[in-house]
Amino acid sequence: MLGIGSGLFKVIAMDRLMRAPLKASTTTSNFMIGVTAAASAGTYFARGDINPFIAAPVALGVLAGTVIGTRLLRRMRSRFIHRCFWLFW
Amino acid sequence: MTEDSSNRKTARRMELLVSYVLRAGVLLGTALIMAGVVQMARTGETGYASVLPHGLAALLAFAPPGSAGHFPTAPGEILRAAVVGKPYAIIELGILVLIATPALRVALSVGFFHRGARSVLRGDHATGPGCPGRQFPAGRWLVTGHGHRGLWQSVSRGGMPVRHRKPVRTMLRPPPAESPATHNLEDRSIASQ
Repeated sequence: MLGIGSGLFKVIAMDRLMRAPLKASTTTSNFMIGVTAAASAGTYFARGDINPFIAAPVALGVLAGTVIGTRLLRRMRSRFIHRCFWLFW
Repeated sequence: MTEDSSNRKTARRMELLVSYVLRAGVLLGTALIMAGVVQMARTGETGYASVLPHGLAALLAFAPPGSAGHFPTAPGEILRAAVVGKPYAIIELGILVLIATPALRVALSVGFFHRGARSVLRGDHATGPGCPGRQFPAGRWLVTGHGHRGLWQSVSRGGMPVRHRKPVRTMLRPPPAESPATHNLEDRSIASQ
């Protein structure tokens, strides 16, 4: 929707409307985005839209961020993540 | 060994396999991309268009197939070029592995779930504790009603599964108990006072 996989909307929808736990919401949203992104990534790649010069640092940075983020999420309290999300809105 | 526990073991092994595939895919993809970046930095070339000395603009520009800056997008072509050691091809191979990893993960779990779902449809295990579909969260959510109504039952009764807060929570680990070490410290400090 915004080019970011609309995780913000998904998490709010799962958390507020479906009453799922917050950490489960964020990780489920991440997984959903991953699956849909992987489906389109193949098409972009075949069209030559993925420039290795840009994609390589982005991929490495995203992977590093994922590792750090996952560890942080396990330690953080749900309430703090909640507040972060409401800050965005 | 009962059929129940053997089913549970198979499901556990499937989940482990999926996790190993994911980890291996990400590590392999990262290693390939890193190797490509190192190779590009070392040789100062992309392997396709010798544009590195000419600056960033040419590298960032979209290169349509057939143009000077064009890099391959067909998997076979990429593989052949990567074996030769062209930096762009190595990076692209890593990106391909990264793209294929989640797709493979979904394919694996669909295959496993299909196996479980078939045995449910045959009535081998009904929805008892040994039902393979139950071993996966999605399957448990769909087919069972242990302590709560599964999605299917909720929908067929005409209600959205909105208020099932507790069962979802029980799937997560309980909050860790306060560590006994701190308690001991406090006790000691109180005792010393």
